[in-house]
Amino acid sequence: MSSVKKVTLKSSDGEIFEVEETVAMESQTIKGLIEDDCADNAIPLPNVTGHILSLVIQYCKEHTSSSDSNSSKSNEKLKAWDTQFINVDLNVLFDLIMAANYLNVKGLLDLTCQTVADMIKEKTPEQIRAMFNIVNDFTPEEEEEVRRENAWAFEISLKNNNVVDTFEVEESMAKELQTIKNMIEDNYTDSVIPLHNVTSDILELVIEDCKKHVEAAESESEPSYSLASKLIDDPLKA
Amino acid sequence: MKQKTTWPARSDGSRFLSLPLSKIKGPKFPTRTSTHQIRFYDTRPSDGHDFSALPYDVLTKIAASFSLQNLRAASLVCKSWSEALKPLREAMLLLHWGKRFKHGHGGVRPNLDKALDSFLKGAARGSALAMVDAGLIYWELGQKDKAVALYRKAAELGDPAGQCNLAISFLQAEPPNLKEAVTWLYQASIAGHVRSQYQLALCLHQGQGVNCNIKDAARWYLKAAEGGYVRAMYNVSLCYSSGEGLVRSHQLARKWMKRAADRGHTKAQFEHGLALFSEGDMMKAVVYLELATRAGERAAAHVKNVILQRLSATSRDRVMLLADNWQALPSSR
Repeated sequence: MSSVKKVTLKSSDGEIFEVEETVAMESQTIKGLIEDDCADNAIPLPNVTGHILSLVIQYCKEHTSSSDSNSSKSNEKLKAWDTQFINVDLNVLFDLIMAANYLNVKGLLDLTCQTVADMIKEKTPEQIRAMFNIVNDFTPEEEEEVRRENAWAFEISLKNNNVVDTFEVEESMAKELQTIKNMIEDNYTDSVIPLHNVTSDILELVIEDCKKHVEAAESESEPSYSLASKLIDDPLKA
Repeated sequence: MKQKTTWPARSDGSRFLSLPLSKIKGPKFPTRTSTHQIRFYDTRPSDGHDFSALPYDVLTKIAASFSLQNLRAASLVCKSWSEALKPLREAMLLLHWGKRFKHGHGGVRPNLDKALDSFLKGAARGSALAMVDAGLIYWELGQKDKAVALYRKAAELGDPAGQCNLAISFLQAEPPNLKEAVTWLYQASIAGHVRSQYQLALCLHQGQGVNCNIKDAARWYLKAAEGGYVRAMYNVSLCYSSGEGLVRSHQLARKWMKRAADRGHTKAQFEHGLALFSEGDMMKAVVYLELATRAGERAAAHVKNVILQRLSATSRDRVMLLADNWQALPSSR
């Protein structure tokens, strides 16, 4: 067998690492450089410090050698190794994510992202901020808007054609309007449904009326019929 | 139950080493359930390690298989996260609509094409959940290649359901790709996905794609059983009664057989009925045997009839009434 091919990697702080080519190619970025014949001299990696690069290389080494085994032991052993490997403080974790992203090391990116995901799950925004030392840069209005946007699942916007007055309405109410109900069912992709024939004032009245009908329907089985309802299925006049 | 597992969600041992108390400066986070890990920090992220500045595609990857609740929480952390996660929030809406179209509720007529369309749009925005649902429809429609491609995308984003479905598609392929199936089953099992744990146990038991290992198989059967998977409960009972992979225990074998029987496992109902019969509990025995018979277990019918002949007419009626009113306890699919 010929001697093992090696590549040289240089970190941002000048540290030199000699690595087997197969190990280095776990990084798609480096693989590309090798294949394009740019790897004769040391490959400079200005975005990765020596400390982090050494960790990345460690990861790649462990994962190249383990690709063949077939026992349940090796799958679980590798998982245990990964768990131990990723047990680092958050500064290092952050750097590993950025390095894995930059160097395009798929397994490491998956591992780091999954770690962060698990840390975020089942936490409140305040807890997440505290954990990652993130500053809340929302104004109260902006925060309210995001919360409201998050309630969109049951809201759709009805927009007047001429003036952009959007009314956010509960879906159950909008369904009172058969026309809109059909539009929803046929083509819901537009989050704002334009109503060409209706001005804002009339639309407001109609929505008010729908509200009452929905509330009435919730308390009894037969909603009461009123004049406004008759308008709904006719073309609405300005 | 919020979490079905009774062990650490991702690995067997303690996931994080705890630091000696004197080193702890940062806040400690209490666990909500026994399955959450406590992580002790000696530092919080400092300058130059700004998690709010994570690239948008990385954030999308992190949140790809989040539930709506988690996605909402993450979106409220800071403006850049909110911005980054906007496509995933849109995907949630599409997922919501897709489910409605698929099952035809919420005042909407069932429409598989529209469901698929919605799911695909959600998948395009990076939602692993939408990818899995789109894959399921393609699979139903017989377009298995497309289904597998979507399962793979979800699996690579760390979604356990995607990993499970991908593994099963490998198991069912012609020819089966057992090694890769097992790799994915491991990932999903370690993440706590109950069905994957059962499938993994089967592979270990039968030596498919992995060296045969009865002890490990039994261990995973037990985990799946504890997670509510009925077929695993039945297998666990068999392991306990034969001493294969688990230390022989008549008591635990009976316990798990009853659990499986109560959740509708036909063979378990038969076995449990027989066991009750041998213990002298005629009434209960014959109810289970009746249930098993109704589900098609012919052997159960013979024994059942033997016992029924010994009972009075009123007892027989009572048995039928109990069987008619019986309902399976909830379980994981």
